Amino acid sequence: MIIDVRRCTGCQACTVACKAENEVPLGVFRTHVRLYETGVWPDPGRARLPHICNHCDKPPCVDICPTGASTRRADGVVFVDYDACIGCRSCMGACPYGARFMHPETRVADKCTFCMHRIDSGITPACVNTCQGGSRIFGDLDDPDSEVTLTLAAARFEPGTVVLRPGFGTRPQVFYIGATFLQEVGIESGMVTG
Amino acid sequence: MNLPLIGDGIHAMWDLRLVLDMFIGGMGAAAVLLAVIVSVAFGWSHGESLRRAAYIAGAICVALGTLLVISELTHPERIARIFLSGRYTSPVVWGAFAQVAAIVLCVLGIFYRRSVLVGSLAAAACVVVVTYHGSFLAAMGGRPAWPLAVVALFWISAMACGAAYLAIVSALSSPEGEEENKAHARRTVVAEWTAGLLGILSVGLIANGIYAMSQLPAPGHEVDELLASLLTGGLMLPLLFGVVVTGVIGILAVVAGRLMRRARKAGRAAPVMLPLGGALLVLSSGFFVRYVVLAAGQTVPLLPL
Repeated sequence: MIIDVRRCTGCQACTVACKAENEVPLGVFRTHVRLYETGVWPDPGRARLPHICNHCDKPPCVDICPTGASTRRADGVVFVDYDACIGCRSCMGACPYGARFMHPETRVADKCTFCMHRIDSGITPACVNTCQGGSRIFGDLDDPDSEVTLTLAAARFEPGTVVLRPGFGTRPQVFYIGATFLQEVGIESGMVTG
Repeated sequence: MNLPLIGDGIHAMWDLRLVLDMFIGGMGAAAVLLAVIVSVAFGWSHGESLRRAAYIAGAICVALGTLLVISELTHPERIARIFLSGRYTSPVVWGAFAQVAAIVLCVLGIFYRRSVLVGSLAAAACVVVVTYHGSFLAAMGGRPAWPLAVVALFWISAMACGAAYLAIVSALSSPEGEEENKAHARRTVVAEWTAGLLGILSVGLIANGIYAMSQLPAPGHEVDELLASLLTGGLMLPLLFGVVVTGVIGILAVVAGRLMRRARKAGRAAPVMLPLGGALLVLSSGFFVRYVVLAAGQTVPLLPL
């Protein structure tokens, strides 16, 4: 997934769409938009950072799961087998992105699944489909002709084209474009490599 | 202006039960390990009573800790999956096997105290148990306070607590016979010195940990601020208590032990409450260390709030 933060208006439509699509209970979120205050008077600003599971290539949440409930599919989607989860919450501690939470009703670990049920049917995740500004782009990075591949290639060397916390070695698969404010707000980020 | 995503329901992962598991499980496992070491050093036959006390502590404490952890799970009925289809990259899996093995071997050790094989295997299992407690937290990459030398800290603290337990057992026991008296005296010396020295080492590790946390290269400056407020705010009090108690009482246990032996040699009645009190405070500081470490990790998530 690519998230072009320059196009994000912070409307939280993606947040609501995700909740509606996946029946996410009150108080927890699979995705949402964080707002950050930037700049100093007389030039204050506000930045928006859509937050979502990064569906890492090397997901620490999968390695630490004792029962194998956390799994990574061949297409890269990281998800939780709810019937195998014992609720130990180890994955919550292992995730450097804070993407996981305990589902208050089912009492198992939960997270963004890139709307597996939708992408398996050939349609985009709910947050991508709903985004008014076209901030979120979803596709197959292994397809050289996909929109996500072409967009990432075009923006690869632009300032603010980054992934979050590359130092953890997780190889996150959510790429941010235009996120030049991250250092100012204290979020570690790095250039896209590989 | 942010949505209320970050709240207790998400970042508070574990409660006091995990603290108690790590404390009593670590103490019991370390007691077994120390008892076996002392038995090897001073003669296997002379360490029988000490090993018995250690096996009892190991079996009860590790079992109780395991039950506490199981009670933390939201779906404990699925726990068999850990043993039947567990992922071995997870510390939880090999920790679970080690804890079960430690419990079984400690129970066997109670009935077969003279068996070197049982003692060796129990000690090996207990090494894994103590290592597991620290490794479990160290594997939590999403919590900046935990990967910081927590394995070493928990090892040192567990050994101090295990030694404190053995010192208490030794102080309360009444050996008979000259040979047993000598052996008992040697074991008491070892237990007290171990509790004292490891207590002092714990102080050093805790202090170093505090300094390291305050010097973290900022994943975000807000994380630095959170850590700084943690260290100088409300959690500093129990941390200081644990540090001071461990350090002071660790030394006190050693000094008191020496005084007690000199008093007995001079024919005077020797108080046992002083070293007993010292050992109890070493145990309490071991609990506080784990409480503060676990709370610190959960209070400060990696991403800024």
